[in-house]
Formats: sequence, structure tokens, C-alpha cells
Amino acid sequence: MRNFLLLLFLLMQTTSLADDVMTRSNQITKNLRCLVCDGQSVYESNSNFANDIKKYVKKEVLKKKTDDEIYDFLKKKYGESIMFNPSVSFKSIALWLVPILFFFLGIYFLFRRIRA
Amino acid sequence: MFLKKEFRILYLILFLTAIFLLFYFSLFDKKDFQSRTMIGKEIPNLKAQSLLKNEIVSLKNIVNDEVFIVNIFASWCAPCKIEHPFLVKLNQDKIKIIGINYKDNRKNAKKFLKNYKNPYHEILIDSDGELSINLGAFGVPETFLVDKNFIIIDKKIGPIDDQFVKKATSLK
Repeated sequence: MRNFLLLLFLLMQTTSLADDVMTRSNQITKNLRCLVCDGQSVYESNSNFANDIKKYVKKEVLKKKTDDEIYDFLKKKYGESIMFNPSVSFKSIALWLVPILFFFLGIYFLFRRIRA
Repeated sequence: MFLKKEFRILYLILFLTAIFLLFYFSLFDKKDFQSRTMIGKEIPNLKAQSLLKNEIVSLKNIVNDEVFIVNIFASWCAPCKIEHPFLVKLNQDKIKIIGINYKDNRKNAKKFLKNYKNPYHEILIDSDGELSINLGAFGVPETFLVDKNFIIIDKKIGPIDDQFVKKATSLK
């Protein structure tokens, strides 16, 4: 009886660990863009590319690598475009700021004109 | 004052025309997506089971001090058959080609090489796609041109062509 309970406990532990790995892998692949598909995440896609990345992520999660370590490796190989939420860089800041700058410049010239 | 205003309108029209032309002609641009992320970086020292020998081989032990090519292929990949004659040509031009056999059946891969000639100096088995991820590859076929210092200088997603062969042979 004791052996049976121990076996049951071990089995439950293993299942829970496998679930944790799956959940974390899925969370990571949902943040990754499938680079050979149209607007799909790696998680959603069934392409060869997405399946390879899924397998790689699962393997790295099992190796106890952190999310950032996995993302950094993939960014090094495929560039920032593999991320659905690219990190802040000079280019992305410029992309956000330039239209705002033009908007305020427009307002400035408009006021100057009205005053004149 | 009048002339100044006229010029201002002229500048505006010129500016808007330039923007229109820029967008109009970009519509007809050939969209050939080639990721440049790995270009200029050192090729990873890939290590895997050899397809033809019964041993583990590593990239940096196979090549030294020479321009070489890394080509990802598979027997089930149709475009690989299209590019194969170009690889044979490169091999005849004495350029070392390292093959990465992507998610393939060993027997089929060997049969493929027997039917279409083997241009590869060495072939590494990539059974789960991990070597390809390490190369930043998108699929098969994909080819990397690497210099003497193991720096990737060019890559081609899809079948290679005459232009790629010319570039590789010019660097030899």
C-alpha cells in the first residue's frame, strides 16, 4: 500500500512538472513571431519553422533556462523581428517620437501664423 | 511676397509628388525577404553526427583557413533538387561545401546524393532542426557563404543561383 501511494505521488509530481514545462513553453512561444507565416505566433503555427522553435523552447525550459535567456538567444539568431513586443531601442523611440514632434511643430507654425 | 507664396506652393506640390512617387514605385518593388541578422557574425561551431561516417564531427575541425559554404538540404525538399547543379558546380570549382541534412531519413538522404551526385565535403545530421536554429535559418534550402575567419558574409534563403556561385568563386 505504501509503495502504491509513493508511486502515485511520484506520478502526480511528474505530471505536474510536465504541465509546468508545457505552460511555460506555450507562454514563451505565444510571444514569438512565426517568421515564415502571416501574422501568426510560433504557438499558433504548424509550419516547420514554428515546430522547430517550439521543440527548441521546450528543450531549453527543461534545461531550466530563464525566459530572457531563451528570448536573447533567438533574438541573436533571428533579430528583434522574432519578438511580438520588440524591446525599446533608439529606432523604436524615434518611430514614436517623430510624428509627435511633427504634430507640435505644426501647432507651433499654426499659432505663429494666427498671431501674425 | 507674391513670388514667395508661389514658391511655397511649388515646394509643397514637389514634396507631395515626391512622396506619391516614392509610395507608387515601392508598390512594384520585388519583395525578396532575406534576413541579414546572421551576416557579419561568426558561424557557430556546429557539432553533430556525420551522415556518411559513423562519427561526431564539428564544423571548425572540417574547414580551416578557406572560404566555404554551409548548405541546408533535405531529400524531400523539391527546391533542393533545383539548386543541386549549382552546388555541384561550386564543388568542381574547389569550394568546400558542408551540408546540413535537415529532418531527413538517412536512407533517403543517401539515395538523393547517389542520384544527384554528392557535392558535400561533409554532411551533418540535423534531426530536430536545432542546428538550423543555431544558424538562424528559416527552412530548406538555405545557404551560407563563410569566409576564412568563420564570418558569415552572405546567405541565400531558397535555391542558390548563378549570382551566388559567381560571388562564392570570386572570393576563393
